[in-house]
Amino acid sequence: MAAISRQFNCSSCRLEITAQPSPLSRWAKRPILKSVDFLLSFQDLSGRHHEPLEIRGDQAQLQVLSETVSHYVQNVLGQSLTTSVFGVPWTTTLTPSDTPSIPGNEPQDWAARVEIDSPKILPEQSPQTTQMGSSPATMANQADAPTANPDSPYLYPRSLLTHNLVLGTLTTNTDDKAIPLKTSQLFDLVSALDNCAAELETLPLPMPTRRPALPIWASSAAAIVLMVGVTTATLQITQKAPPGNRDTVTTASHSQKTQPPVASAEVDSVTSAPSASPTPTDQSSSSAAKGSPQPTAAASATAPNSKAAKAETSSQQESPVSPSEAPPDSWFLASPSPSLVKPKQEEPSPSSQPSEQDQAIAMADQPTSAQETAKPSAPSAALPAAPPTAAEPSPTGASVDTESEKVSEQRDRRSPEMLNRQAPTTATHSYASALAPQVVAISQYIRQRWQVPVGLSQPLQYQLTLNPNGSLKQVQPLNLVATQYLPQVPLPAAHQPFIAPFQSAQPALVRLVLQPNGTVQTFVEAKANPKKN
Amino acid sequence: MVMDIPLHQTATPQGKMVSLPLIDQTQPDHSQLDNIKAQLDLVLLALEALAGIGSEAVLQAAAELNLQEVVSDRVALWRLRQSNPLRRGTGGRKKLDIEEARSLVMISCHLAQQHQGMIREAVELLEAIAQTHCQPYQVALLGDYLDNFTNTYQERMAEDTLSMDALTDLALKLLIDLLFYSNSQGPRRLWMALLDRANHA
Repeated sequence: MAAISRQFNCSSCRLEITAQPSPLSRWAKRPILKSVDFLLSFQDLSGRHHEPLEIRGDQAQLQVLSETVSHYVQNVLGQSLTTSVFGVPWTTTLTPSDTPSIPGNEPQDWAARVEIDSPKILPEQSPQTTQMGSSPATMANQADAPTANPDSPYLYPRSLLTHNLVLGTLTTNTDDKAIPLKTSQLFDLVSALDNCAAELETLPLPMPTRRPALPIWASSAAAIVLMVGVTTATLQITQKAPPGNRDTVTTASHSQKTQPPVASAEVDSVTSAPSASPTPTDQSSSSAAKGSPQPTAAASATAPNSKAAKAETSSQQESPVSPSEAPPDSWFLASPSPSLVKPKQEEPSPSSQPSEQDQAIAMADQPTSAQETAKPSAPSAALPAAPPTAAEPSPTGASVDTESEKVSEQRDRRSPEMLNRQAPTTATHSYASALAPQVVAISQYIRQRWQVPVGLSQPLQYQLTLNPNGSLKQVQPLNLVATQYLPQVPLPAAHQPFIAPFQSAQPALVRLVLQPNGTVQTFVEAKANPKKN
Repeated sequence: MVMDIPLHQTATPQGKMVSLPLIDQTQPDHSQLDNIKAQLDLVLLALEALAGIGSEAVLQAAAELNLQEVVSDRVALWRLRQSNPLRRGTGGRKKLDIEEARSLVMISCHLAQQHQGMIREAVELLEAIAQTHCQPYQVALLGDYLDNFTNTYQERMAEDTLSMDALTDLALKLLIDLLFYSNSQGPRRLWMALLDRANHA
């Protein structure tokens, strides 16, 4: 777009503006300019007879000059009449040498009052020494550009009729830094600037950015923070697996931590004796008879299916198989570990078992299978088959007593063998007694859901690790067959309370034996014995 | 004596500076208006003394500025100017509201703009004779102006205690100011000058 040029002519000065029109001008009444350059030329200045004085600058300098001149003129006009006319007696401002004191010599007095063309009227001069009283100095102080920015143009008065314009950094064709201006020339200058401002509109200059400069390390710090954030988010996303997979991993780790039941045969022979003691059964039956709170699973145990009843009947005909009598296989004997009885089996097995993956898969499917088996059994239950929790006291009834008696009978049939192996200590006895309701509840829970798979010929043995809140923490198959049939065992979901909680600081170990004839057996295994570690 | 001039007593330092006098909603208080009333009358007096502006010209200017409601006739104009506390008789009794002050400012600047050439000539003459150390009375235009101003002032103002030098200085100061009131930004500058002076006094 072509540059435009405007001239504002006054009697003694001319202001020429050269600028680029802004595209915004089409929507404005006045032309909007950008990239403004100006040329200010004075004619007939004192001391410059024919050569005009030229001042050049850009838009910012023009703006500063316009504001400075307008402000100065306003200060001159706003000077109090009281001060300028009456404030300081004229006769006291002039020394006798400056002003002839001859009476009647008024022209010289007037000339001294109006025209004080001496360098003593400078901004820094005190008001008492100025001819016009305090006003010139006051105006100079109010014009005050020099104190604000020494490079900016400013004006100061020399008298009522003369003023000095200090150019500052404005480009000019003279070496003089101060231009003497008459009042009429000052009026022309301010009129030209006023007309320019009234006619043309310039785009506002971009304000200098006052934002504090960012330190050099800011970008590096931002990059590091970004990298850390992205890395953390990526790791969380990649490591976060679906709940099923997470259960799989957990179970697999548990199975790795769980010691192979090779030693369980030995340990069982030592520690499983208390579970076969008749005490828990007696206690459970007695507590049921007394109407003490029982797990709801005990109430729901009144609805065993016919198959389970038949299986139980048939199991009574068969010779009971002790867990220790289960045929050991190679996996069962793979790695002896004495830490089976540890409450917290945190030590991973040094040898990887060939069936670990199978276990993991089996445990991953276990909650689903347990739920599937629980759902159909719930409607068939005579009493509400809510998840068995100890928080709800179960109504006592004959059925509960009967079931408890049945369980006690079953355990009584196996108790002699256990008792012959090792007599329980007092601590173990109390420990087993405390877990008796849980053992019964587990038995009933499994019995309600357990259906003997077709082709099962060997008893399935599992070691259940129970959390004190009545939930299942870990399942450890104790033989190969148990590993194979683990998905079909209706075990409760991990860490989901299904029996009454018990008072123990450590997880409890319960042996679960599922006979091919449908018999469900549960035993309390020995409490962790630190001495055997 | 100088200190007895009522002009000194009318202003109090309670005034406030405003940026746009004609559209600003900040109204000066009564003490400022007192000072403003005197100065407005003096500006008109300077114009009257320099260009021979009478009431007809003022009313004509008011009509051109659509200010007939404020300055409708000579009586209204006389009452407005009579609000000057320096005036004889009932001077200063009338209160000048903001619209009346604004009207007088507009009229004064309009008349100054109309007679800008004469004002400029007078100022340039003053600048010229200042360099030659001549008396302003020796120049016709300035002499007439000073005579008219002095006579009218002494005729109308109550306390005629100003010396001739003070009256001359006042007249020349008003003449120089008239030049700056005669351009496009004159009304704004006059209004702000009135407030500045009221604030400074």
